[in-house]
Amino acid sequence: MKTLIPQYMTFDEMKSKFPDSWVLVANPESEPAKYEIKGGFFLYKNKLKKRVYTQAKKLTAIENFVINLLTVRYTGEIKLPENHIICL
Amino acid sequence: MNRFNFQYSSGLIIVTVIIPGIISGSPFEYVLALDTGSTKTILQPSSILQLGYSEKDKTKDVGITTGTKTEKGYELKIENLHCLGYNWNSPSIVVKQLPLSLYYIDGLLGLDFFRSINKKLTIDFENAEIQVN
Repeated sequence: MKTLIPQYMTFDEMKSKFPDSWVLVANPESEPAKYEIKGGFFLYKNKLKKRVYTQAKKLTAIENFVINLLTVRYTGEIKLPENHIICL
Repeated sequence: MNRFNFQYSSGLIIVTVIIPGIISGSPFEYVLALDTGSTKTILQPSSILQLGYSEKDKTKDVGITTGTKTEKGYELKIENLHCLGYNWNSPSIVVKQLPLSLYYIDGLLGLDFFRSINKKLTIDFENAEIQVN
């Protein structure tokens, strides 16, 4: 497995560098009622969410870095199909 | 009182929840839609499997009645769920696949969370704020 090197980035930087991707972020700076995080330590990205989850599951200790929290976010625009509403 | 500004995501009110994993020590933060029409809190299978749980951990099968149909899912008990400043210990959550159009959320935060913490929930649409007290 490739060694992951945590790199602090803002979420805007992640969106710019890894567009339309799912990103695995350690120690995210998030707010309790917002999708977008302010930033965090980028670990991994992929176009497929399930691959990011797989990577997270395989995650082992990273030297000189403490993971307190992990999250996955999408860097693309969140939108529904055209003429689509949600009724849960 | 806990107050949090919210932003709509495709019209949904989003909340983040933190759930400890049972494989690795790291807790995971998920994105759920606040759904006062759901009696139970629901998580997508991919999300709950990521934490180390599996269908083998289910406590029972459940039917899930939506606006138009009844679907199947299952319940399992997790260690803890933290949301909006409150801890919910040993909750039974429902695991069910949500439609693909809801790809960006990991599940729904239902009424059972608010019943469990036994607080008042206010959604202030004018100020885009959730208040729990």
